[in-house]
Amino acid sequence: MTLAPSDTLVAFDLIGVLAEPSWRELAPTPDLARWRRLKVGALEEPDFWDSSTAAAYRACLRLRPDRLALVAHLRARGHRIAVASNFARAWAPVVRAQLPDPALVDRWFISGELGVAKPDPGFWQILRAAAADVVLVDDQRENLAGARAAGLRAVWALPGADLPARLLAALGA
Amino acid sequence: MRGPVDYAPLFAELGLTADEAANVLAAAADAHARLVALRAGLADALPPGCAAFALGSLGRYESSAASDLDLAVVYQPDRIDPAAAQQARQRLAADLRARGYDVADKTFHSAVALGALLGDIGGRNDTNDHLTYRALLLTEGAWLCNADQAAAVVESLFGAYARGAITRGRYLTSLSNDLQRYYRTICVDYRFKVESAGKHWAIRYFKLRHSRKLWHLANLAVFCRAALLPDDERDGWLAEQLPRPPLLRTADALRPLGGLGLCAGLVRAYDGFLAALADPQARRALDQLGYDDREASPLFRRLRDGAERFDAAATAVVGHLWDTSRDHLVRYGML
Repeated sequence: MTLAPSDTLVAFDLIGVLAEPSWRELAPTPDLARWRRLKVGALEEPDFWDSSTAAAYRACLRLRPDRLALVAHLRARGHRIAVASNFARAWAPVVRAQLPDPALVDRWFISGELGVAKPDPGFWQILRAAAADVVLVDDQRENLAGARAAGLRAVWALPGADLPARLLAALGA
Repeated sequence: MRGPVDYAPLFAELGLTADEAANVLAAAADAHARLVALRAGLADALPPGCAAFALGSLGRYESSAASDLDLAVVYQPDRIDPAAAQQARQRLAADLRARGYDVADKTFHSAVALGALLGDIGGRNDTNDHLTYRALLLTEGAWLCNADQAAAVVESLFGAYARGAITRGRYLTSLSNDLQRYYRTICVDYRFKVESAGKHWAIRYFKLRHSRKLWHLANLAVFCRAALLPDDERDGWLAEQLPRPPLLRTADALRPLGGLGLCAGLVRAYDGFLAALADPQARRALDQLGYDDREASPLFRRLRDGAERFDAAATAVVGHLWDTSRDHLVRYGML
């Protein structure tokens, strides 16, 4: 069966792929136990870190212009676009507001909103139900392995590799 | 690096107590605290199209209150006018000085265009400054402003080597050669600075024998380890390892080669060096030490003894690489 571009949902991770920086780079004392709860919506941000750190993270959090250009290119080719990220519910609006066009992203799979995070099989199950063909773009090898085991395709956003070329090759362009 | 350096698991593996590595731990904590404060305070300090990095001890997570700040600003001319980038760099340097940082206008005295670092690697227009930027941004560049663009800069640099059509080599040889070239350059540059430019010799001497040598050793170990990985895993492993602090990447390279225990000697010797660098009195004494007076200085003799121990530990590491990854060490690290 030949897939049309619109049958493929390209799902981008945020930190390390579409956006920077990680919360850990702004946290004076990163608390991974709290992060594990925050990223699945079991903790609210005021209980995660103080308000000044929260404000600093929002001020630093940016979408990468080069990756936005890639997303726009894929959109122009007819692919559907998703964001699939382990990310706090409270931070998602900051990223959404930076999109040059809100219609650039069709679906948002934010762990803090879903209540489940990568690489939990439940996350892949939700993602897989969204399209006939899903290509995950992620920088974490553990997530790539999990996605592939769940029947998704996956492309490693390897630092220094030519991500547009690798992704377009995976998409058969 | 994403967040603070966590040496605790490594030191536990090595059987080192917190006291034996107190200065390594303190330097890592100091660097993270400084980076967090600077990032929070400088979030809007640079316009889009520029990224700012801390190189040197802060970028290696080895800083102290006595450290200066090597500020590097890299810009993309298609996104910002070069003159505007220079002005932004000057404002940022002034801001950092107002915060109490010693920002030297030496190698990194002006903003540099990303294309200048990528376009002519090894060619006529590839200067020592360009080499310095590339080597340090890849191995000890901690972002200060515009993390989104900083990530793109580092990926472009790595990609310049990884995407070489003819020269990259199976083992990313063009990158390892460029890193070795930088190390040899600073070793020779020491001669010029001390013999001809009237710079303080002692602190440079001990930096060469500790931090510079560790940086080189870490790269050597990482590439020797990478050579033994399957081809399709090598680039990714290198890209992940190179930004890590030298002690961690040495350990990560030696662990699968059965040589992790050799890191204990490195850590102990390096800890003594960091203790001296964090001590303003010791730094001042080194700055004032005449070459002919060195043997009369207890500080000099103590640091030299530490440097000898560091050499012994480093030699043992190279010996282990000789035993476990000899082909790569000889063919690509030496010949």
